[in-house]
Amino acid sequence: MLKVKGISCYFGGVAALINVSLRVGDNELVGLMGPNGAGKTTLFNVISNFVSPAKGKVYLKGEEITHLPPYNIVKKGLARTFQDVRVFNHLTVLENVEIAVPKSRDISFWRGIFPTFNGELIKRFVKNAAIECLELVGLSNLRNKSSQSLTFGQQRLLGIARALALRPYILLLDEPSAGLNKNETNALLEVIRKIHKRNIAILIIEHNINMLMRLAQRIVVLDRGKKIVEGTPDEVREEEAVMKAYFGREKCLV
Amino acid sequence: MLSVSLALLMGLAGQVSLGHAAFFGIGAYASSILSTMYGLPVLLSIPLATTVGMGMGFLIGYPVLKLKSHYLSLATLGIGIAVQEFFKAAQPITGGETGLYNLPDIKIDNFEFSSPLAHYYVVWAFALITIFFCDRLSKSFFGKRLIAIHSDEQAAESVGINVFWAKVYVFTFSSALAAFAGSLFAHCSYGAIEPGEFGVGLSIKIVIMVVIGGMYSVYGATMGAIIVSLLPEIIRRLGGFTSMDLTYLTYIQDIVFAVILIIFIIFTPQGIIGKKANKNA
Repeated sequence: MLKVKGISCYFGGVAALINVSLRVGDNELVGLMGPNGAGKTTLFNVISNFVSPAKGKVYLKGEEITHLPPYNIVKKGLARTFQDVRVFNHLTVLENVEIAVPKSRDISFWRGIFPTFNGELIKRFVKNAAIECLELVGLSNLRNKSSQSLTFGQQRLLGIARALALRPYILLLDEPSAGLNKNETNALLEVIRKIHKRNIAILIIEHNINMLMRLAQRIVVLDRGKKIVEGTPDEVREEEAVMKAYFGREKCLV
Repeated sequence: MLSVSLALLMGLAGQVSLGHAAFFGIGAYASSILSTMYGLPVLLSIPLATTVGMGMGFLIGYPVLKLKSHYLSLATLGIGIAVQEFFKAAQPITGGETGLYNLPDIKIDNFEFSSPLAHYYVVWAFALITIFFCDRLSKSFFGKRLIAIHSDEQAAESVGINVFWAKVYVFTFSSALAAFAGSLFAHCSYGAIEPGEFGVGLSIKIVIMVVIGGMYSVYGATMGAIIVSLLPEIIRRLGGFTSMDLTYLTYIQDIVFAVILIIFIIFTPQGIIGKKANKNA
């Protein structure tokens, strides 16, 4: 499904990613772990081409997407969410999702001005598709609220619904549980499982190691821009290096 | 109408243009030149002028929209000044500083819209049509995509929106509308135009209209336009009571505008209509 090959990326003189390779198989759920600043989000940005890598290639379903503009990568079937949520203010919950439904792009500039019968059909189709995505994350009853009025946890879910509306083959989730309380995290876990059941591959950045252990089929650990460990959750748990990089650093921070 | 055209650009897509008067002027001059020098009927010169404005909008918008936020504003400001200077300098076709005069009125068969009242109705009719269609546009998925771009360009790209082209589209359309408004202005304003009318002052006035009325709504921009055009009149009346000198009054006008703008930006960045819409939500 997704293949990342030998990615290196520099910001100024600092190496954010060094020769990182990674694979996500069809319908696989892969966790991406590592301390702050390890380059996890940068890797996401490279995959969705918000950041161009200095070296390396990204393939989606065998097709190279390294240099495609972000909006085209989306059309190839790769969707992502953001750590800082980024819902569209001034649009309602439903509208946020609607504009992500690919069919809504059929409403071009001219169709926006002049009403057509077909336009009404598209509108109805898009609305139903959007509601379906909102139902999946459990927000459909809030659909007419302004997106700013949602709690942080709900905005996260909205971000996921928005990404789902794109009908992706693979979904990149950037720390979906950060800043959520325990109940919200459990609800999120359910949502992720549901998405996975729909045959959508998932690559997820997650700090919460326990959650990842329960969820992921495979875990990749980054540290200081390098991949240091890869394996099943149990294998990774045993890996001393992770413990050092992860918990050692965290203790130092406290 | 001009305000509505900018509201589309600035309000929905969040691109601040400080050179919108340029397109207004391009429309006015294009239509004037076509109708006086080439003797085209006004009914033909207006659409042609609109097309010219659209073309210019695309040609300018395409390179300029690669810039972001305040860089974009500066570039458009520069273009606004450049275009105005062109009007002044290109004497043979634009009449230089004195501008163009003896412009024909809108004519259908033998019926001429020549009285001020007729002008008034023509302009309002077109303004209402513009408002109606722009409002439709802003509520369509296209409009919502623009709003999304306004709030977060990267996130907008992440849902598959071609941000750059969407911006070029609105910029072009907005320029065409401004040119259309300009060409109407040329034929409905005492039959004369001069470069001073299409300066940065007007551009900023349009921005004020949009800010006061509310960025996210076409009706807001209309209201802003009405308020901004009425305000000088009100001040003049008030000034009449105090029997102040007219030059002083123009200064006071500018100060009042500035104060109002600052107040609005600080307290209701969404404008009058925007505020109401939010309460309903």
